[in-house]
Parts: sequence; structure tokens; C-alpha cells
Amino acid sequence: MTLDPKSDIKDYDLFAGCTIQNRIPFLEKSARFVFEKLGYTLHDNSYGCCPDPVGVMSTDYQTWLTLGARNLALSEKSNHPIVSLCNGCTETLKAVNFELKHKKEDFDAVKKRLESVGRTYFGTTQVKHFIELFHEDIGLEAIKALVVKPLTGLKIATHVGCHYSRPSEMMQVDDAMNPRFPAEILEALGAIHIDYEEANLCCTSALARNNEKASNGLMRRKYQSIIDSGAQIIAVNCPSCYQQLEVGQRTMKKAFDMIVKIPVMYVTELMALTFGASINDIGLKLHQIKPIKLLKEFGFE
Amino acid sequence: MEKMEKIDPVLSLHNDFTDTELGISLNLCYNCSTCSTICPVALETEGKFNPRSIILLANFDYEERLIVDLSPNVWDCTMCELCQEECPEGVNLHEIFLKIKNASASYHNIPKSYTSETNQVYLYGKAVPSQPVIDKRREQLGLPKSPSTDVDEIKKLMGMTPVEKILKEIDNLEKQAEEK
Ligand code: SF4
Ligand code: SF4
Repeated sequence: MTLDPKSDIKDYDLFAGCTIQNRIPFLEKSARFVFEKLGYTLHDNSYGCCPDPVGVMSTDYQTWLTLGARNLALSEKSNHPIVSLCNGCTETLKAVNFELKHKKEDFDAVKKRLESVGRTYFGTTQVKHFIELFHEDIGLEAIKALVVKPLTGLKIATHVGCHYSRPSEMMQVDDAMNPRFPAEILEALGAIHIDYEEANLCCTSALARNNEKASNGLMRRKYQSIIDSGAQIIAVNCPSCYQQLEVGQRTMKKAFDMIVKIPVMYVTELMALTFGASINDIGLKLHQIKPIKLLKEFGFE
Repeated sequence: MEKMEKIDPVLSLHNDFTDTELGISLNLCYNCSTCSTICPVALETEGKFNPRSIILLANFDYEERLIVDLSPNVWDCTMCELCQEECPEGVNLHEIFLKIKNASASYHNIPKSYTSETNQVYLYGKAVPSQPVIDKRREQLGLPKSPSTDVDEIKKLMGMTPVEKILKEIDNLEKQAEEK
């Protein structure tokens, strides 16, 4: 196999994002396990909030640009590309680079603000979502080669999440309207990928902040579609989607007396298991909807 | 929530939507409804919220309805970006909605969870700051300490953007409301 020059880089700055770091850190544990197996070194950096492309950007665009550029400047200094574990962080970091490249006035203003606190920003940091790095740089064959215990027989649906690939102009990854990379990775791990009608439907975590009724209605559609598909696990690659799709199962009970009990798992958790991690190693007991019984049925310890 | 008198919402958007690249993009809308057909929230609310009507109102300068009355309510957008991808005219719905949200925010018409999140960033540098119980969990998992950031620097940077003022005004309004 000839290596693409970009995949020669094995040192990355890890942008875990504050939701994973400070709320659901077991997801970070599985990611670190996987990166180590893949021969990558992850570096910590003193990033602030990405900041969130829903909450902070909607409040004030200039703050979002400036703090996003500050994070990118930190990695320009460390001279590592960034790998992000979160759709929202990835969107912010890619979009801020994109916006500042195209908007001269904003670029000048942000540069000036950063210079006043002693930072320089040029817009040179490369940013990748972990799914993108796995699929594009490492490749399915190399992933397959590390599998010691495949997910044979497990039926897994994916919820890729909106901010992973859209707006496509900024994200430049996968098929924006029908993203397939996560499914292809899971298939490489031996799982049966299950398609379902509402795969593209948002987890509605942004909508839930303003209109709970509409958010509940949409989640009901989503869950029903997943239930009908027969999937045993929902695989995700964004911490906001993870939380929303886990908590939402309780909400369904309260709002509609609807029973949903499908474990939500991070793609890195499923990878870690197939690469030899134990259920305990990666803290799977910390899930709200426990996947442990199901995984044991499939021979995972 | 009580509004501050001094802000003129009508002026704040008009400039963004006139004689700018964004304004030109807005003008390209020919009302085809592709966006509202694909919008999940439009489906769920039976059209009460729909992106096409927001674009239409923005095009005709109905800023007061968009920012003050929130009718239709721009905060009902779940930011799935499907409309942005599918609009046949390439109308930049993403940025037009963002301008309307920012204008609503400076008019204090913003869901509480948005400003509390932004305020967390202002106070702690992160929307989800580190907390002892999770620090302990990280340790149990064998993870390194959650890296810290320069909170003062972030505060300073936020002080150079409009956000500091918005957060303070909203905080004052809330305090006044509590006193009453
Ligand atoms: S899809 Fe584009 S052109 Fe059609 S109504 Fe919506 S904004 Fe207008
Ligand atoms: S981005 Fe907002 S308006 Fe556009 S389709 Fe999604 S929810 Fe609807």
C-alpha cells in the first residue's frame, strides 16, 4: 500500500471538546485506545471552548470566530493538525478557517484581537473529524487488519449527525446528504449495517432548546424508524447526538409512553472492542442505556 | 421578558441584507419551497415554522416580525443545514438565519440556554467546565487530567466583541425581573 503523504502524519492535537472531556469522558477513553492501536500520538493543547456552532455562534458570530481562531492559533503554534472527536467542534474549527479565508474584514478584526493577547493566526491548521481521519487517511483495510474480535452478527444503525458533513462547502467530507463513512467503518469491523428511513433526521438537540414539543415529535419519528429497522445498537460520532439519543429514550417514555431501549454507542467504542479492549477498559458501564448484556451475548467480555 | 428601549431592531438587519453579498443571495430566492419541503421542523409544526417564510420576510424587510415578535420563530431551526444544501438558487440560508439570530440576541430575544452556555464560556472558557466528580471519573478511567485553558485571555477576547454587553444586559434584565 502506498501511503498518501497526509497519512504519514502520526502526531495530532486532540480536540476532545468540553462535552466529552468534562461530562462523558469514557468516550475519550475509547478514542485514545483506538488511536494508540493505530500508532498515533495524540497531544493535549490548552484549548478553550470550540466554541459551539449552535449556542455561541447564534449568540454572537464575532465571539465564535475569535475564540475558534484562538484554538486554531494554538495548533498553528504546536504545528500539529487537529483531530476532533465531536461534530460541533469540527464544524466550528473548519468553518472558522473557511470564513476567515473568505472574509477579509473579519480576518483583519480577528487577527487584531488575537494579536492584542499575543497570538498569531494564519489559517494553516488542518482539521479533521476522527471518522474522516479513519476512513480517508488510515483506510478500511488498515482498520480491518487490527480487528481481533469482529462485531459479527451485530445489527447496527448509524446516526451520523448534521454537523459532520454540512454545510458541505465548509466541511468538505463524505457525501454531505448521505454520509457513508461511519457505516463503512462498522462494516469493516464485521457489523451488519442497518439502514433506516429517518437516518438523515437531526437528533434535534438544538431544537429541544426552544421547542420541546417539536423536538419530541421528531425524535419519536426517528426512534420508531430505528425500531422498525431491527437495529440493536445506534452508533454515533458526536457527543451531542450521543446525549440527545440516550436521554431522548427516557423522554419518549414520559411524553408518549413509548418504550425505546436501544444502546447508543460511539464508533470509537465499537472499534476499541474489536481491537481488543474489554468492556471495563473503556467504561461501558457508564452508559445510561447499558450495552453490556447485548455485547456479552456477542462474546465481548 | 422586558426589552431595552434603545435598540432599534429594524436598522440592525437592513444593512446586512442590502447591497451585500448576503443581500444578493437573499434576493435570489424565488419562493420554490424546496427548503420548507425538506425542513424537518416545518414538517413537524405543519408549516408554522418554515425556512421559506423566514427568507420571504427577510427579503421584504419584515425585521420587526423576525427579531421582535419572533413570528415565525427563528430559534425553532434545529440547524440541520438540509435547506442550505438543497436550495436550487444557492441562497445562503445558513448565514441569513445566523444574522437574524444574532440580531435577536442583541434584542435579548434568545433562549435562556443559549446565553447561559455563552456565559459559561465567558466565566470558565468552556461551555462544560471541568468538575470534581468528572475529574475523578477521568482518573478512574486512566485518562490524563482535562487540559485547562487561559480563562482570562478568553474573557479579554470576548470583551472585544459585542457579546460581553449582550450578556450583561440580559443579566441585568433578569435581575430586574427577579426584584419585581
Ligand atoms: S429553496 Fe431557496 S429559492 Fe427555494 S424557497 Fe427556499 S430559499 Fe427560496
Ligand atoms: S437548517 Fe433549520 S430551517 Fe433549514 S432545514 Fe434545518 S431546521 Fe429547517
